[in-house]
Amino acid sequence: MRVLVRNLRSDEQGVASTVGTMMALLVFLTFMSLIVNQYVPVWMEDAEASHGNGALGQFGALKGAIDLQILAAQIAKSDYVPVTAASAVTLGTEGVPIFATPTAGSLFSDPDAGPFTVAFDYSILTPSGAELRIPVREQSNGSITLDIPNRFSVPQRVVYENGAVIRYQNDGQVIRAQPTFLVMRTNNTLRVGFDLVSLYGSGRVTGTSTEVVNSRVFATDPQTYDRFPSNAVIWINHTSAYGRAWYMFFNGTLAAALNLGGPSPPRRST
Amino acid sequence: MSYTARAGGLVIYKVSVSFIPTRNQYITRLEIHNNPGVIPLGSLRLNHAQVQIGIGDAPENALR
Repeated sequence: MRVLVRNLRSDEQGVASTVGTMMALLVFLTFMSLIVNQYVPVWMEDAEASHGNGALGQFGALKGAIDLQILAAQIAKSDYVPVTAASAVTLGTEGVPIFATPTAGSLFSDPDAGPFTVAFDYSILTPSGAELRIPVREQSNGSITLDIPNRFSVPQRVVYENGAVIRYQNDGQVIRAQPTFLVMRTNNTLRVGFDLVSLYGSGRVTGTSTEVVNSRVFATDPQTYDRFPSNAVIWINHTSAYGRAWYMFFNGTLAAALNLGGPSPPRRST
Repeated sequence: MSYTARAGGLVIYKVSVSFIPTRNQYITRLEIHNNPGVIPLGSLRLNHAQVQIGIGDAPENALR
């Protein structure tokens, strides 16, 4: 039986197509690597930072909506009819298809968070001419938080708390939209104004979509006190994760109004 | 951490913040003193607003 033996023959024409294919693959892989390692992180970092700034603006709009309702309630007094305002908040950042997953944020309302307590004594004159010391104690609670666990940019939170919008990061926190806390020195007397905002209702939503925060001011109680015992002290106490921001805000406002200086910013990190 | 502002040797205001590691929270305290001889406390306007918040798929439930 005859065995057919094929001799391999050399053909240099095949090298060109093989090398060309390998080069094309290398170019493709290089291009993919460039996209994955350079373009996508930069794109996502910019998108997350942009979302954080946008969310801050949306919380500013939420604060504005609540402030306007408070103003309307004060003007209308007993004729006030509560209305519901809807404020949009974008929760997270969309990803880059195939290359990066979305960054989901979480928006929640906690009616027990961030208690503020204001306590002081004022005095009233009795018909006999004696001074009667009356204690006052008011408390507010509640905060709305957007938690943004950024992966490419700095993770942060945007918080609405007692009329203030706070931006929080691990390396710092600051009040970006100021609450109503006015201190004036007029005719060498001190005039102080402070608003408490209690938030009721809890809820949570997570994702990257744009959701709505409904707010309805259903009561306001403005009071003015103008007679104080000689040793009176107004105490304002607050407990939350954003105490450093409040510390700087209180001190900055009082120092600017009274021109009495102030401390350097605190350095503690959480 | 605290700061005390004085005028004429008297405390005008004191602000302090302390960190509670176990709760990961701060306690912020502000005292505004009435000093009739230096800067008397003229008036305090305190406004307390009550706000109903609704978040989520059925925010109307929170608004009832």
